[in-house]
Amino acid sequence: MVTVSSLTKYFGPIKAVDTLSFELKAGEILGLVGPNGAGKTTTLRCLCGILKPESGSISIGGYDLQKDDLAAKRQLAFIPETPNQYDLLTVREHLQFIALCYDTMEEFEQKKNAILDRYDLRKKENALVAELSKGMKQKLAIASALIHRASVFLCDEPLVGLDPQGQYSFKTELKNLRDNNCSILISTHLLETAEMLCDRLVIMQLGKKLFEGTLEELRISTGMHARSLEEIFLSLTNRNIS
Amino acid sequence: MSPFFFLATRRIKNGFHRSFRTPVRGVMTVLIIGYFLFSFAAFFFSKPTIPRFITGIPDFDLHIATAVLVFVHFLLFTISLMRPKYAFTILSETDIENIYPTPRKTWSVFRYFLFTRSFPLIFLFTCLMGIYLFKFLQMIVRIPPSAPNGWMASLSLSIYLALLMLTLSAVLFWRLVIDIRQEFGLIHKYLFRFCIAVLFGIVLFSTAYHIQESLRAGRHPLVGLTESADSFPVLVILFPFQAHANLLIGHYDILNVLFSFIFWSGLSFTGYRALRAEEPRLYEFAAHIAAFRSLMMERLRNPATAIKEAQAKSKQSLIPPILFRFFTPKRSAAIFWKDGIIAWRSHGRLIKGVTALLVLFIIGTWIFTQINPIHFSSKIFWGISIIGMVMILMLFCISSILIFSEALKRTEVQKPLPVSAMQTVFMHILLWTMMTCLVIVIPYLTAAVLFPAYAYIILFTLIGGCTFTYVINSGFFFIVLFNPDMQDPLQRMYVPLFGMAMSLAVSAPAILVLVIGFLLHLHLLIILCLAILCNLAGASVLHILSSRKYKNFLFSE
Repeated sequence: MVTVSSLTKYFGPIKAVDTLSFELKAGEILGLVGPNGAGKTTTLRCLCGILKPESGSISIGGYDLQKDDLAAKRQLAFIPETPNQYDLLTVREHLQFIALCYDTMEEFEQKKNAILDRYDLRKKENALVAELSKGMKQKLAIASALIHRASVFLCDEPLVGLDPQGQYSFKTELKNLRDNNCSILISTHLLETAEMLCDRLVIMQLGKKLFEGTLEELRISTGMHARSLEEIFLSLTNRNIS
Repeated sequence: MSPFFFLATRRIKNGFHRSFRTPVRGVMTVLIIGYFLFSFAAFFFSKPTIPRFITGIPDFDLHIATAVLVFVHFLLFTISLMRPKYAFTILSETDIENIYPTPRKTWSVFRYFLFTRSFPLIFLFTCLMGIYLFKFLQMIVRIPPSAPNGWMASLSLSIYLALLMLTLSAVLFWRLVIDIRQEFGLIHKYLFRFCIAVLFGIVLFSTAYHIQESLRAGRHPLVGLTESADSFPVLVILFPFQAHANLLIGHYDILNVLFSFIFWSGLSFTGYRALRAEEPRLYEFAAHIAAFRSLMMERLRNPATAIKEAQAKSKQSLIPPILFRFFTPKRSAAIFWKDGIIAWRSHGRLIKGVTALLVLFIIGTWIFTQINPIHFSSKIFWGISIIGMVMILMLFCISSILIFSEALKRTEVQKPLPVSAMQTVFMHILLWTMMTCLVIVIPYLTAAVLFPAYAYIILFTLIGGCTFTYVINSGFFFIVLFNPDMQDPLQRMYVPLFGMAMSLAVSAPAILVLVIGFLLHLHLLIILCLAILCNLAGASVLHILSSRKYKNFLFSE
């Protein structure tokens, strides 16, 4: 579904992402984990077309993001780390705006009530975004990603700020999407969530890929059997620094 | 329906709806709409004013007025070009996260924001400024009999506004192109600034030389300014602004206007094309600027972030500024201390920069007068002192809007503290007043030492300025309390307009005292004391009203 080959991104002299390659298959949840400054958010921003990589290629649903960006973006849904919506739109209008951007108004009319109910947004339907709490804004960001028929979901720390009910709903949502053959890439600091939710992991540090594979493969390759992801991750990243 | 049209219309609709949620903001909205309508109607339907001379300025004729206006337009052009790149409000983090990942064409997204966020407000304010300037010039400049009046005057002003919009468009497009190319290392980082500095330096040097010659010959400095505008190479540099000045006065020739239109249209068109050619870099450039701006805002809100960043870089340590290191704050003083550190870290460069520039200007003038003994009349000193003071106060009081808005975002942290609303309000205002006073005290004291013969004028202006700073800041704080959200375009428009009006209203008694005192030739000390009393009384009233509002203040209201 998503193929990233030799992705390299500089910020001035700093190499934020260094020849990163990985593949996200259909019906899979891939966890992108790494310490602060590993290049996770930069990778996601390159994947959704906000940043232009210096070299490398990104293919989404068979479309090259550089050559056919509109077709590639049609497959995507992006959930940013900090919810940043238009303060002067109401919840309903915000969703409507996103639907207009994707030209999926008919689908929006069919789906909107179910989505609003699922994320407790029905009561706040006509409230301005400025009046929502941080958690509610995060729910709205998730709801916005579900408005159009995306097949690839890019989530940057999606669980931060959500209440337990919201976290549960979102995790269930991700599992349902996976069952419907959608591909999900999650960038997260929450290693427990990654361990529980993700089928495979990409561990990054200083822009480079340290590991790609399942948790079992990670345990075997590091020789740390019966250890949690947190322990392996800390060992791997600390070893790499030293 | 286009998503962008939907976004624009809903934001305006919801913004107006929100404006009427509180009675005060509702009244402000009605007043603003009334003000705009009245201003435009008054211009188009009023009779032309009879022109007359300003007394005291000899030969303030058409030629001098044109030269002054040409210089004003050149200055406006230079300031617009030198704006910090992150000051462009076309691009925001919200757009990046919500629109950029969607399947919309990059150029159509960027063009939409460029036109909807920059031009309507610029156009509205340009029209208003143009109308007032046109009216003002009609009153003070001897307009030739051939000058248009009635509907022809309106036509002249309309042509001027169109030309000014073309100029501002060209500036905006080219500035963005240069910023983008700098950001991606395609042109040298300082090349553009160097070119502008050279142009500005040539104009400044030539003007200073001609004014000096004029003063030596015992003529008015404005005559020197006019000679500078007519001399080579300043004449060439300023030529594109000739038609702007002529149109404002109502004295122009068709060829001149035609040349300007062709020149600025060409520059705008090529700028637009060049910007379009940068399409592949637009999103990334926007993302860089938005990230930089949010980092600045985060530093402003949260000093801990700034400290962490500095420590991570290990290049500089963020110790509190020297003024705040010597006292241990208690109760309400803690708010002053905290606000002080935040304001210094966010605006310290501006404060130090402006102070240094002013001190350099004063020392430069002193050296100049030592080399070329020129006698300045006390009237000139009064004029320079007061105009300088008003300009600094305006700059810093406008900056206070952001400081107060950020301070009010911290209300939830401050309200549970054992400090009364009155004390909190007082500390917020006092802090920014002190920061502004820091900027004016050092240059004015330097001037008082270097020009002892005029020390009484300088000290009078300094003390008077400090009291006005206090009352003006109180006025702005009061207005920000009702319009705290600077993300809301309507509130962002209300605060400077109503803040200015409120400040003028509250400082009016002190201004009246100054005028009457000077007319009656009262002792300067008596005038100053009376003005201070009036300002303190005005500020006290505002403090009481602000603290009442603060008790029930809600940022998202």
